[in-house]
Amino acid sequence: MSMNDLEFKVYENRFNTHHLATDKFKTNLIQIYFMLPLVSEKEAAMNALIPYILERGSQKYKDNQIIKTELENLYGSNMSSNILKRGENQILRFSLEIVNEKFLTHKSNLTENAFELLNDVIFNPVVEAGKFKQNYFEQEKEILKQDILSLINDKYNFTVENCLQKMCRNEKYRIYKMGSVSALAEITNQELYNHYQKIINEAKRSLFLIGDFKSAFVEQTLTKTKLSAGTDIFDENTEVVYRDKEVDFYDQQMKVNQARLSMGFRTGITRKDQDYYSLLVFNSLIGGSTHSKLFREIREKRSLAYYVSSSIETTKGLLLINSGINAENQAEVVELVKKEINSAAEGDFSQEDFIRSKKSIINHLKQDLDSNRALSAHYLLSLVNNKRESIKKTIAEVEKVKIDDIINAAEKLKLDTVYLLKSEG
Amino acid sequence: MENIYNKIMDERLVKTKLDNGLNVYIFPKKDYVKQYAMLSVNFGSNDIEFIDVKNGRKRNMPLGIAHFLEHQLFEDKEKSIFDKFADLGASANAYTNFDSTNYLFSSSSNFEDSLINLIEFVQDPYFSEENVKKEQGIIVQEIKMYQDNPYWKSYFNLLSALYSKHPVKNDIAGTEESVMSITPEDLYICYYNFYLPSNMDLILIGDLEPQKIINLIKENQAKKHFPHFKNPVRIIEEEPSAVAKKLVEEKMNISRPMVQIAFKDPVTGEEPVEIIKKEYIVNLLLDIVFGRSSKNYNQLLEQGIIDNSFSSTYHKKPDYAYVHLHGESNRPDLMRGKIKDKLVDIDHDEIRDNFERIKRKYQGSYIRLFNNFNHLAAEFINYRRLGIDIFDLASIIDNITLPELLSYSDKIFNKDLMVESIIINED
Repeated sequence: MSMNDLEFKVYENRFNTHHLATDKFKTNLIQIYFMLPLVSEKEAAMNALIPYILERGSQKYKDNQIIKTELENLYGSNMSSNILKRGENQILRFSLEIVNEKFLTHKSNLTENAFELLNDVIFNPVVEAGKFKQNYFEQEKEILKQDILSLINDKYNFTVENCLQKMCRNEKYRIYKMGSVSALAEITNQELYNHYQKIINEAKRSLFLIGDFKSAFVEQTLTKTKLSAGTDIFDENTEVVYRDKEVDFYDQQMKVNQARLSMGFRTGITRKDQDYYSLLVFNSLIGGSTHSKLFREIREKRSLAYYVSSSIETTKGLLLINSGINAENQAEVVELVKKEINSAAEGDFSQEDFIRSKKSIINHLKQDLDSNRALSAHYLLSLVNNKRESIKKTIAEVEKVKIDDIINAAEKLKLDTVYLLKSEG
Repeated sequence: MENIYNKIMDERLVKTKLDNGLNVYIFPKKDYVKQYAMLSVNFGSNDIEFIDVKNGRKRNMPLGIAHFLEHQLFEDKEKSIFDKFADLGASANAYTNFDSTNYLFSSSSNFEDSLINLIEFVQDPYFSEENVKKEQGIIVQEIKMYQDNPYWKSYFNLLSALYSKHPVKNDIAGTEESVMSITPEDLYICYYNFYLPSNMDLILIGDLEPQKIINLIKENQAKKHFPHFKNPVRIIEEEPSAVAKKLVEEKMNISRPMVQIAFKDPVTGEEPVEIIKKEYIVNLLLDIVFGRSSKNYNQLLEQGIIDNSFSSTYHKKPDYAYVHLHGESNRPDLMRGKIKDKLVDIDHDEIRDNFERIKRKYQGSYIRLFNNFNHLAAEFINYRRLGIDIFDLASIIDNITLPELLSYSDKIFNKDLMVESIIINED
């Protein structure tokens, strides 16, 4: 395999290492993942809180100031954690991005040293009396609370999240990726620490390496991690709900300048299905691009919106349409969206639109080959859905999509919930 | 044609200036699939007053005109510009900031045709009453969207406190009122004053053959006639050194108060290299005093006064400069007070002890610049307009000295030039 094939190779070692060897980038990227099923608001809040506390200090790097000082010494290496939601799972991601030593005039073992730091942060927290350090626990609990509450500051995501929570109110998917403020309040330091131990020992886990790693690092340093054996991060938890029902409409009033509309559809299509590739192209055609039908009809023809777009969730099987509008145009916009989706299902789109949509998907996939983060994101989604696939393979599958496949995908869409955030009065 | 090879970064830059004044810059990137092109026009939201080259008259344009013009160039007589790019498998976009308007596309094939598309649509204006009217509706929605963004809102409140004359105090998209007053004639006036090849830069990144691409552009440009080569004369009213207001407060539906603080740094007319150097020096200084590894940041974090939403940056342009700090806090008054106290009394030992390490962080961030095409193009043009190539940043950073940081630390945080913008929760 050549250095720039850009395919992940899986190592048969005790933990699940997925390695993409390339010298294309100026930096090396290491990511450690833990996958946790969405069970309750409280567990979600506990899972979310753990990275916050770990990043405050470890046994060797006692506090945030020491950690950040060390990262700066390592030429501004970047260590971060994220809480993701894929289907009915939370995924904790710890990322480390290090400048490739070959671009530095002073040589040093940046990758080794930074990886040691990451390991200490994840596996050796500061423990006092069998719990996390009490003030780290309390302070970070307050910070997480503020982060949950701050969703309201971002009216776009506030609307999306509310639409999804209403739509999936009887499913685990309703749980916000950071839990809830009331569930967070119930958590004690002791139960959180016990939960952390459980994650470290039992949760599904994977390790991604993307970059130009020395063989000594891969063979020796890497194996010194305390990451223990466990199952890879495959989803076995998500319930795909697909049904006919009356559409639910929700209005929420708030003092805003612009009304925000979110329309939630069920597709029943996940990354595992062959229909996935057709859905990708359909999404581009309907609202995933500036040549899309919704962009043309709602923005360019009628100036009803600045943004109108569609996006898909392909572990749970959802499609969402979002727009910022004047509240009095809600009915018109909802009707236009329905009409465009129905007409696409009847094959009422041009050959040109079809070809543009395919080209657009392929163009974006090809560009993902040039970004370590995008390579990781694409691979993660395929791994979670237990269908490991290179970008090249995805492109080949998209090439095969035919007009009839798009019509089939469009026919599957079922509008479930319409949510509108609008001004009082 | 000038060919620069930077050995340490293993990066190449090809530069050329065409007869009509258009600058072309190419970063050939072997093994990359993505191709990226940006046509940057030296015309931004700050350029609302200028002397018209046609008749020498002073023009005063509605706020937001550069951004409006950006939207309008996507209009074409027969076919949507977006569709033209989509047919080639490329995706086009544009953005306007304070000092430039940037048209771009990214592709993975058909680069040459896409490039001609880009040049053609930017160099072929078509403005009509009907299209202007349509765009007004879209842009009013865009303005409303930003009005609901608490960060954006408090940032512009902050700028309006800092500046009484300088146009940087105005929202890039203008106001609902100014946008509704824009006419096709206004757009044509701005267009012929600012959209000259000599007032544009073309930046191309990807696995490209520079000579072939340059010939293609030359051939295209040779066919066109541009009425004049005079670059526009902007009028910027003199900005007093004092601030306009000390404090702006506003209420919004948010989770907790948002605090933004700035220190105005009056302009002294430095050379371009000095501008860039000073920007780095003050940013290093801010990192030492208020960065993630600083004593101050960690103390305030422990006390629950700030959290990881906090950040600090120094912005420096030839015609304005300010230090910008912001973050969310449930104790905004305490946060404001603490920041003021710390900044007007900086410990020189702290700067001495941390200087080399923070410098190393900036050396790392310089290397990272080359990882992302979009980011590289934006940063490249930013520095290019000040007259330096991006590779020169490495030596600018290396040559920063401790005494330089120490000297700025006592001057730049002047209490009298401090302003605050606070957003509090709607009851």
